[in-house]
Amino acid sequence: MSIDVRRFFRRKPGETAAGREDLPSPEQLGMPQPAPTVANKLGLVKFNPDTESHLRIIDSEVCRRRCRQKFCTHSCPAQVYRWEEEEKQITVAFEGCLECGTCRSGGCPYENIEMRYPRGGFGAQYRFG
Amino acid sequence: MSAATSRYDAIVVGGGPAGLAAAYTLAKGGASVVCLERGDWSGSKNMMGGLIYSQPTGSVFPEFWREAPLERHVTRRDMWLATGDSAIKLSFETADFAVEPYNSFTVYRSSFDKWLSRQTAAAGALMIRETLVEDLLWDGGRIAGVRTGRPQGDLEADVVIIAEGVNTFLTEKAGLSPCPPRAANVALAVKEVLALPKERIEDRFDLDPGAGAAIEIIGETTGGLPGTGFIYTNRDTISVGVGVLLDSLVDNRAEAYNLLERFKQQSQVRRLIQGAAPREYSAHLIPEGGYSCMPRLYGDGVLVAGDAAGMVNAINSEGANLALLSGKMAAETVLACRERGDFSAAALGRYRLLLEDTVILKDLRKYDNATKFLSTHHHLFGLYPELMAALAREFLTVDQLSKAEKERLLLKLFRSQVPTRRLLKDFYQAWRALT
Repeated sequence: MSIDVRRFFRRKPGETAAGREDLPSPEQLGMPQPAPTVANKLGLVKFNPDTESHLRIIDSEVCRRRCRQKFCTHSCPAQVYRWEEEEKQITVAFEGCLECGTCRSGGCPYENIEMRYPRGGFGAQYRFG
Repeated sequence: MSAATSRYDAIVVGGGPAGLAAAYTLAKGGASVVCLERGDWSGSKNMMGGLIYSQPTGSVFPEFWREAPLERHVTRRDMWLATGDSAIKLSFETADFAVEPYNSFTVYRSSFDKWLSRQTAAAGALMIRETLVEDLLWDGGRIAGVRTGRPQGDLEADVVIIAEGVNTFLTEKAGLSPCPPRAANVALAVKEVLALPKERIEDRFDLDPGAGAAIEIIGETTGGLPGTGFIYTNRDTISVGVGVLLDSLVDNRAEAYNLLERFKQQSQVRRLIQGAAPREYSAHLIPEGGYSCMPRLYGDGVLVAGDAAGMVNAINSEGANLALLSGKMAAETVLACRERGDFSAAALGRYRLLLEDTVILKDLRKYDNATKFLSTHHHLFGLYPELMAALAREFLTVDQLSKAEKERLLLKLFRSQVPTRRLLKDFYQAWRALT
């Protein structure tokens, strides 16, 4: 009988993942890596997108030079943030934002994302919720 | 909204359970109150992986279950310890929860909150939708109103009740928040609503017509990360979701939607949702920092209620009930202050005293260490369910090994996975955190 117990990265209290570029890869940690399904999921949500983004990368140099892990591309449940290797920057698909607030609450450990709510009446609109 | 300086007794920011309970109670008490909601309607931005409880909800909106849009009254609560291929299932079921006033309900927040807002408007509160509050208006050190995103959208009032939810933009601006939501004190929940005919739901979940089940799952569901999976039955849909503490999600670069997909593919879950068509995907943060992460609950001309005030009992998955109660207490405080015309922090401090006497502060204080404990004890979510399943599997497998040999084998396994001292320490700390 053998038990497969994964070893998760655990930080010390008070420490953040920012600056920790020596983390084991998600594959090594045994995280699921299925094909992206987010686009299908977002297709089920009704959006009324504003013309202007309510999300902003504060300093793209931080994404480029300091954040090797591109944390936001994993943490955002709507996959709003994507790393474009050619342009060396994060693109922000704000139209599909579910307004949860992950990116302002540690989803970017560098606190490099400014999130506001969309203007009244704009954004995601749940029919079930 | 026309006049630049519309004036009210109270402004409530946010049309969720906390804000609506506050606005409803204020309007019933004869105060002029405006409630601002950024969505197209109350609930259009909301989702939950929890239940609406009759008693606390009924204490604000009497006998709501007779008219409100509810999905199912919950008669069964399950807790599963799951591994990849096995599960230990604990189930509680009672007929007591099947009769009025029931105990809890599954709901769609998009329709339930909308119904609450209609009751609030009918009670005399002015509901303004599609309106984002962007800033607070100050008069010296006192909060005197709000600035909305509308042209000439300044509103003034004696008191502002902040019920903005988990993203505490205004609570932070009011200088009341000592620890704004950071990864260590929030959980990210993602959920899918899957459609299945009502009879098939009742067959699969073994339910009487109209009755519902709520299942909470720890273990493999979240890839062993600190969090839970959940399954709730609605009338003709099933809600399936996972909630994980954000810091461990970020550290491990796990994607919430991938955890959800894996959860849905787990055999015990897959059987329940097979053939059910996805109808909606949603995501929301839950403030799980507990008592020590609550903001100051009052200041000059301001009160904070609900998720904005960190009022979530993560251990029992309670939030909406605490939001409703806190909104009601905030309104009662304002009504009392209104009689004396004093809305200073000293007078509004009565809110905190009222809350001391409720389950809100009593339960949050009781479980203050629980979130911290769970977030530093990941193995509780991964290893222990595995060990429990191994124990059950070994004892239920009849083969050539004697029971004494099985005991020895299991003891060896336990010791190899958890040193005895660690095991004792875990139990001691769990006991300390939960009692």
